[in-house]
Amino acid sequence: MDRRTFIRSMAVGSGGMLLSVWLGSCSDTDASPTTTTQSPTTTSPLPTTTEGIAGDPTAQWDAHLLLRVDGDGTITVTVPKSEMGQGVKTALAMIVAEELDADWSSIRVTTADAGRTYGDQVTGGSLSMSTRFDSMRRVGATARHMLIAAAAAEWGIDITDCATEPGVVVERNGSRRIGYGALADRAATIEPPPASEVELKDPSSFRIIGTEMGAIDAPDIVSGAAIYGSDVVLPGMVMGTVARSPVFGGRVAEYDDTAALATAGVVDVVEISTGVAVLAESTWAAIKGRDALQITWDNRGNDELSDTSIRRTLLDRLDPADPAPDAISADYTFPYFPHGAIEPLTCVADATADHCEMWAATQHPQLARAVAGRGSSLPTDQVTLHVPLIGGGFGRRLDQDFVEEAAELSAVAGRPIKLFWGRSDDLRHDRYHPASVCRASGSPTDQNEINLDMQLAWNDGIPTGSWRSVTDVPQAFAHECFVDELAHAAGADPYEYRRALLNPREQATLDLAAREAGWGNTMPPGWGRGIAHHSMWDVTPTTIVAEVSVDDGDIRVHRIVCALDCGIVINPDTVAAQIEGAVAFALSATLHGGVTIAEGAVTESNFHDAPIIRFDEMPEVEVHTVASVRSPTGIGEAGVPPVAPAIANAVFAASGIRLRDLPLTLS
Amino acid sequence: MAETILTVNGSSFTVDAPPEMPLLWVFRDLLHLTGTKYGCGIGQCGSCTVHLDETPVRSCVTPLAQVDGRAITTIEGLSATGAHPLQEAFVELNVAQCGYCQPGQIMTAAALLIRRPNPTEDEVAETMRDVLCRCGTYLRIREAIRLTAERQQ
Repeated sequence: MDRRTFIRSMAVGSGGMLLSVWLGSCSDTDASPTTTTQSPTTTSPLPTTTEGIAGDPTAQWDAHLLLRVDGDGTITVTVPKSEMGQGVKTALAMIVAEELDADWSSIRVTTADAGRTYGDQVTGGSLSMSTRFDSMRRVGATARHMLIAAAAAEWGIDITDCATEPGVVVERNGSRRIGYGALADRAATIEPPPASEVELKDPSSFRIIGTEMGAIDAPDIVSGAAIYGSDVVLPGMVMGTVARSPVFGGRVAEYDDTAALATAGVVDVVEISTGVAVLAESTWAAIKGRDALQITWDNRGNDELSDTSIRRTLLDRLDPADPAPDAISADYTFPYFPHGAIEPLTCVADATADHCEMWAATQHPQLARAVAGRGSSLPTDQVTLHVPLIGGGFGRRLDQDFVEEAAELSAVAGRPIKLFWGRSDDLRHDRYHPASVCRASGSPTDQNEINLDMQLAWNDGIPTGSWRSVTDVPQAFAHECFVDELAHAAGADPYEYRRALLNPREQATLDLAAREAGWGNTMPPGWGRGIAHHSMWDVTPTTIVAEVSVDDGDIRVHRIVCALDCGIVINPDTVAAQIEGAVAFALSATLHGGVTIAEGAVTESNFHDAPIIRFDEMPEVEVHTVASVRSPTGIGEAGVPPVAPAIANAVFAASGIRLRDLPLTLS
Repeated sequence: MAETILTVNGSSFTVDAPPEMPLLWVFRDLLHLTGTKYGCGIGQCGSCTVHLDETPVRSCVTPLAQVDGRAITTIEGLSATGAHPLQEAFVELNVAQCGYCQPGQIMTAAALLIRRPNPTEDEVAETMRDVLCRCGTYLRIREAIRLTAERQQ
């Protein structure tokens, strides 16, 4: 990406400055024009973007970031990433506020609409901090420079005779002070400086970055005022819900909507690409109407699929085990995992003949915009797409099937609609983390030769997609459990044996976690510690030590100690929260499993049979970061991969039983 | 459809809805009170929790007909200014991540603290296990409840 920076500012009608920092032109950074359903077989962590859907594949995007200073001193930062609890809105605003030298209480944050001018808005792959750290610093620093220049002009002094305190430009050798708000009008007329003249702070003088700023939306969240994708209300809106084939790949053969149409509150029944949709005055009526549909499905032969058949397919793809004399081998298996965000998929769409306006809780606004155009038969540029708060992403919202469905439904209905996915819909029509079998083999005496043969069911009849930490999860499970098995075969301590496999940065996290966990201290009978290390996307080394007790077939996780190196920490509280969250996320998969496939469909239907962990199952979690001056590397996913292997290894330490399949169970 | 008069957050509303409609949808679709959330529809996740005369109920499985004149409090009505001690503690301790389950968490915890102003850890766990959080904020929820109970003594 071309990193030249062009800056433009303009006066804002009501008084103030709007700063657009142009990051020069950058092409679609992940561009290779494939569709969203392709399995991520490359090293790129994210599905590829929009240009294969609509538009010129060679189109250059101009990226700019918005920072607005109002006359009253309010500073609004527009963040080009989706907020789903990972704290990106707050963190990116902190970075701007730092270099701007803003008073944090004056900061407001908005999420950018899908557009061509903010750069890549995909939110995933733990990439937001690493890809935006530098540019957001420059936005803030450039604005500060212009505010100083405005004050200097006002006072008739040199800019070098000015400094800033939070929100205020001050005269170094005098007593004059002007707040940013009062300077905004004048700053808007200042010629923006070239990038080479914009100085960034020395990290040693950071006063916002590195602190535990509270989340920007916290007050609205606790009061109920926060607006999620499912909360958007439009005049004249109806609720829509879709009956989809329970068998993957099935389609409608025929349907009878008489009873559905007769349901009180139902206004229409229409068939769309994804199934039969019921439109109603309320969500309840839509649900009742859908229940009343009589549909005959054409399963198209896909009802033979089962966990057993898929497992057999995966095993058949494995290479035979290593024939070396002292080699050991083990197979590690995963089921399909659902995402399970508490807010099911949702979208509000208002499609007319010449414009489509969308509110999509999406991790991929630009792709969402393009598929909304496809769904409503409009060019992308005639689609406006807003991004409300997301009630949990975890990778599911990188796929835009629900957005296209909403756009199509609105276009067909001829009115604004809110698309409702119930829990069962969300669970049974997910893009699952693929089932997998991983064969690990190696020699206990040559720990540098661990071979992993990992087979994932990306395209075996069940729709799949990105799930927090993606293929690093089964890979780390197999690798870290196997290292433990090798250590045991070699009669070595798992921590010591593993340490020899790691580079110094990774070892630092291993040492820190082991020390904080008290590795080696005696545990009571039936208790054990397990250790695992993984470097997410190769940039965030993370070690987890788990303390587990085994009692009468029950596995109980008591304590997780995590140490990681994520480079410069923007907000330490967010890092801790993300690790706590990753532990909970991984623990659900580890102890409760995923979904089961039978007769081509998902068996489970809700949280009663596809549980996630509850309040009373949460272990204590301690998080330690290694001090670093590296640019931030990302922490949204790093905590997930080491959790399952650390627990499995702890179960072995506690019970002598080696578990190699998720969910871990001793019964 | 019948007309029902409801008292929600201290105000009176007349709703025209079937008596079997769950309160959740009355709030969200008819009254446009969207603070109460849908998570599962079968009373398993707790995101829809509201109070009926200070008793916590899962509004997704509580039909309109069951209100029977009791006063309803949703998250919007817990405090006129967002200053319920639990809300303050949740903000202070940075409990929320995505925040979607937080209204249900707060309403459930608030009802607990009315009933048991100084709950034991076991009592807190037994109550709060009714509300799911996929983002994993449980440890901070626990701390916020503990802090609030401590402050209210």
